[in-house]
Amino acid sequence: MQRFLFPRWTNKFLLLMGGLIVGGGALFAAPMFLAATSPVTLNIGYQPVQPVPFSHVIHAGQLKMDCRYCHNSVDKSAHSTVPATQTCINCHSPMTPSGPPVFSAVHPTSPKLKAVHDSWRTGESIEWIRIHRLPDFVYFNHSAHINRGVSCVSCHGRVDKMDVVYQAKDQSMAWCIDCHRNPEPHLRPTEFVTQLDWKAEDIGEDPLELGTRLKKEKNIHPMTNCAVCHR
Amino acid sequence: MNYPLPNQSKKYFRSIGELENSPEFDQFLQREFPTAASEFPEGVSRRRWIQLMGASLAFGGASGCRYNREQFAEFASKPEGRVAGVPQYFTTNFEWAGRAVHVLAKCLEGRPIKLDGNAQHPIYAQSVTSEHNDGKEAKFESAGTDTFTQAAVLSLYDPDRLGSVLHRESKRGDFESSDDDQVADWTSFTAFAAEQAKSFEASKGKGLAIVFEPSSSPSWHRWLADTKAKFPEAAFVEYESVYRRNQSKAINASGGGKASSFYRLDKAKVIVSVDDNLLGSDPNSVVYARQFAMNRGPSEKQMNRLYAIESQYSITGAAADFRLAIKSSQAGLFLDRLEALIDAGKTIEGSKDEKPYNELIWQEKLDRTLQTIATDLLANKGNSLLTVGAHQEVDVQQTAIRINAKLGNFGKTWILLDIPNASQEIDTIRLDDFVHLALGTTESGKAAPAFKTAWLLVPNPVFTLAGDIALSGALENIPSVVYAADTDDETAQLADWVVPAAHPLEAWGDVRAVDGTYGVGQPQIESLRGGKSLLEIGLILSGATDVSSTQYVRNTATEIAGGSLSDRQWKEILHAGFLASSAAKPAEVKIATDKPTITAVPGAEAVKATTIDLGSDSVDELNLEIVVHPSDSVYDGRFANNGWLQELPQPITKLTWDNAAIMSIRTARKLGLKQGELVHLTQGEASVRLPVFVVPGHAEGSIAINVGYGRSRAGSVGGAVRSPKDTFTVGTNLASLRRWNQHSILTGVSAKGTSIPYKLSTTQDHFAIDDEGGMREIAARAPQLVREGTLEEFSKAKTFAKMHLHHEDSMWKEPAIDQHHAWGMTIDLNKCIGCNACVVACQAENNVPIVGKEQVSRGREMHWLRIDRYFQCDYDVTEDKGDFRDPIDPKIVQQPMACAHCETAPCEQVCPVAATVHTEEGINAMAYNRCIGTRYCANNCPYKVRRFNYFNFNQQYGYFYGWNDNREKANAKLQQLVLNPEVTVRGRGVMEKCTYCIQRVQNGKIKARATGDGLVHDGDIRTACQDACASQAIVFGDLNDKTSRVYAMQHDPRAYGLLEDLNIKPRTLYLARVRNVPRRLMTYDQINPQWNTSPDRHGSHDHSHGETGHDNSHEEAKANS
Repeated sequence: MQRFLFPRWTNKFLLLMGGLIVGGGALFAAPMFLAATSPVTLNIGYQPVQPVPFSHVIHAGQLKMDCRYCHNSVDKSAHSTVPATQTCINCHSPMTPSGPPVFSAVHPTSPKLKAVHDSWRTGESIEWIRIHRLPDFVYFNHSAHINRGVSCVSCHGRVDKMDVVYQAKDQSMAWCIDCHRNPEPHLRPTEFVTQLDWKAEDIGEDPLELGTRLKKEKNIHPMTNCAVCHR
Repeated sequence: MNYPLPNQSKKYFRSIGELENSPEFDQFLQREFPTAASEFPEGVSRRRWIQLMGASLAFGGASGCRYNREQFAEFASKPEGRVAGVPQYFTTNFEWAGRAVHVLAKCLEGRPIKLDGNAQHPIYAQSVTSEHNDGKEAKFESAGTDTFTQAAVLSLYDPDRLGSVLHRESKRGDFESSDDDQVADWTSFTAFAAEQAKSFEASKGKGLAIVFEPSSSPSWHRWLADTKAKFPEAAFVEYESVYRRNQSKAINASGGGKASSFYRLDKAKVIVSVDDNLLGSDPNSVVYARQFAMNRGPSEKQMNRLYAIESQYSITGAAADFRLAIKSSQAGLFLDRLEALIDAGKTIEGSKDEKPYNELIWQEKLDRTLQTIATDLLANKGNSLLTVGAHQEVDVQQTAIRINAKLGNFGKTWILLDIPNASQEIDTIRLDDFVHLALGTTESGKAAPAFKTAWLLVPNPVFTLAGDIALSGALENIPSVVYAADTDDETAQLADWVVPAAHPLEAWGDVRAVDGTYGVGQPQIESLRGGKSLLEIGLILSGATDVSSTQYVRNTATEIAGGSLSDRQWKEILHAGFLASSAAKPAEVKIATDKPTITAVPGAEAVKATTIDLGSDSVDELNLEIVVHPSDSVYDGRFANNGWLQELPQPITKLTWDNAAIMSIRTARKLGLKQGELVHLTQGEASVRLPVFVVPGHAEGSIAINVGYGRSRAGSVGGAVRSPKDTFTVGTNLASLRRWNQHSILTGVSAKGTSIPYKLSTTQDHFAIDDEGGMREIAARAPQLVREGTLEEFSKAKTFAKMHLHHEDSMWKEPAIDQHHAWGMTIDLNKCIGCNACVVACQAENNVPIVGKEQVSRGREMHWLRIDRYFQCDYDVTEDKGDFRDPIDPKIVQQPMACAHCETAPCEQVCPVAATVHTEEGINAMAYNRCIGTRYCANNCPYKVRRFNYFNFNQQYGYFYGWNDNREKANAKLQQLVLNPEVTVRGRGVMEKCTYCIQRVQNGKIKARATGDGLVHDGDIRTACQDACASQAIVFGDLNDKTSRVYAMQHDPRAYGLLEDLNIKPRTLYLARVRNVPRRLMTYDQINPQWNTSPDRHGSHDHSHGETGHDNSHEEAKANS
């Protein structure tokens, strides 16, 4: 039996087919790669289990504690630190040998607070897991934003509604630059920066008008050059 | 190939290689990236490299696409005042390389990462430059530091430091023994010491020898006095590796008693430095550099004049207005002749038609120099100062003291102070006597060994000592030797108890400043390696364990404060860094001006020269002079394991990782030696072999060598001989040549070449700005790069440094300039002394890695800031009839060179990925994470200030080049602590360069907004180099602020930009150097400056006009080539 051979004229399609395969592969791979490495896919919704089942809903939402009670370096430093164990102990002192502590005995025996109480007794750190993390070559400064009236909610979402905190915004460079180019909607008087549910309408203002006014008043002119964040 | 020279009288060149057009230099000129970029560094095999790369890929895959899980570890209970990410500053004072330093330590998360001078300290505060005495100077003034202090933080995190107490019972001197079976702890040592102290208390200290370094610490003095009282029969052995006692001996002999000296350069109009590196190796160089710079603003009324008479070209010589090279051994003769002229009291004014200085023969040059200096000194009685290097003999020092006394300088420019010292009544013995006593060799024959125990409280005497003193034999002869060691070094081998000494940043201590001001040193961090300070070790040894070192220092402070010191006052001392108004009182002494009858110094058998010879004819290969200097990098060898200092290009020579026999061109030729050739230097039976390094301007017949190299047990950076196979050393050890009685100047040395080449790594030709044309282009362009003139010239035409350029329009749109800030910098070449402090400061601030000797030789050093050094000389018509290849009396101009942040930066135009871009505020920014490493930008940079990471220098080599990977991970972690977290650590394949300390700029702006009136005030933001600059030559600030200092300086008539003709508009401008040369010592060119005779001289048209240039020199050069 004679073997089937592609006729010679099909040779000119060979290149085309090769091109289609490679091109098609690239067309498929590029969006897949971009999608897979996008901060939206990677980071949004990252919700690790913390060593202490701390609920922001109770503390920030129901009790209306100010964010800065715990994250107290947010307006002083580049970093907004997690609280020292001592801060927790201010309310949640453990049992003493002679019974419950006299003051601040909120759930002194709760097993959920075991990690906190252990840390207090031993002096070891509680190993909180970091959620919002930027690459090492990005130098974000919390105090620069907080002191100019950019609220926590702009980057972290409604943490007061999160039982377990997760990353709500994509925190990519494009997302940063969006706001740096157009800061007005995110500006508010500094006394309201930690009020996550605050709206400009609450003080009878138009959000954009207020933002524009604050930008001018505070001499805010965010820049978008590389050196703003990369050093 | 030799390039013809243009018709230009001022000649500039940078190195011998450049003068001779050596193949190496040609390569550095022709190729932007010398030699193959893909070559693997020594020590990492290709196979190992592939393993490493494979491993990192594997880890990359395993960790997936999400970032690593990262944990917060917040304190359980936070220390007061600590905010994460916000640095805390604490003052401290300590002794470092034989000098007292007064610093402000920047601590981040509890660890010190940067040291800067404490500007509030009285010795710095009194030397505030008068031109900015406008009430706001305090903010600008950073006191400045020296290189050693800048590098101190790296030594702190050195993993090679001794980490435990070692007890070697039977293994002393055994080089093969491993340390594991010798590890003891402090408890056992304390028990041993207590027992020993008890037995010595019974015997009143008989048989005990305490070897210590001279110190300015009052607590240490008190400990010595206490110990003397406790053990009255103990021998107190004072040993100083870099001997500086001759001056105090001379003062004593001249009737000054025990007074100590403090110069006031700011009060002197004429300063004569005779073989004295006043601005460089002097222990108070930072203070003196500040004082010197105070009167350096060029004006007839104010500007001081510095004469330098020296053998080796030092930075003082480079900063001097006039320099004469003479042998160090002839400095005494020079002073004798100067004294005779001063005694004669005649001022000699030269006639108008005298020959220019450079046309004289050397005898006439010497005469005229002496006459001019004498005339200048006589005209400035009480306003002048003559100093002599610490290494000169006592009789030379006495001559200098007499001259100053005759000029009435004491009490005015030379202050004698009565600094109280509790230990000054103790009779000390010298180390050579100690060795003889220990060996039992006396003049009368054998005697019983005198010592049962020795406490070595001095860094590494076995290494630093001259070779003719058998200290190691003596130590073996002593049954019990306790040594406080930094590392397990050469001396530690011979001790049976080796205890780790703490870094001064880890311990309590105190110092007295040069003016006597008392300051306390407080620990910045808990002892990282478990070491204790010398004071603590001393207290343990003397059995005074009932008092802590903290309490001991506080007791001293109480005593000095006058008997009582409240907690509040103590805290004030710690806060300010000094005890207010504790400066010493002037000594009430009378300095004799009559010549004493000379009593022979015992043992000074140096052959004294009787005549001064400056010419090269007198160079005798059998009778040379060697001058031994402490290294500007490793001092006496104690910083050998500090990579920053090892890799720092040494001033003038620009040599790294080595010492060499430095000599002049003619001497080398006469001896038949070539650059880099190994030479045998022999004196009597002692000999040493080391490479030749030729520096123009060195005194004929003199050879300078740095000590501190050739360590055999320094550590993984500075040299280690672990076994015959596992050996590497850095440089050459001079001990075998050195003589106890001739600690610095050796005469009667013979030299013999070996024709064996030796690879020296020097950075002098790297990053040559002139890309093509070689000598011709350099000679044409160097006068534009470093502009200088004389004071006379400046007085005639203030704008002498300006060149008339055609300003072309830019080819592209120039970046818009922000209305808020426009950052800029100026560097005053008149104030810059080229001390290198800024280079190390930049390295510490910006996480700049070191790359090792082999990589430096490939031109891959990473320093963001380099100090360009240009030699300049006139035709010398006397000896070689204008042969430019033989420069006589070259002058040096130094120029710190970093990224100039051009407005229209050429690097930005060629970056394919926009990794280097301009900010609105005018900073040429680098986005490291964008850089793909094409290196186009470095190619296009006219200043050659961009540095490329050929390897992961920070990871594979770390801060400690050659570090073995197989050591514990903890060591790598320890090294990392020195990194500044505010600056990205760059990886392989990334370009980097000066950022104007962008982290300081950004943080300064953020801080200004958060606190105060929201505005950045002039002086709020200072770069690291500016902070380190003792002479305040570097000024950074906002050009939009018309009241700022940088604005004023940029509008100074002396201001000029480098390569302005390229229309790149650099933001860093230089202020031209003005030399205050006396008329009689001017060269032809200085008398007839070029710029003024032809005001229309077009700076450089070569580039803007291309081939149609109408510049005469250009045409002529072309015709010649």
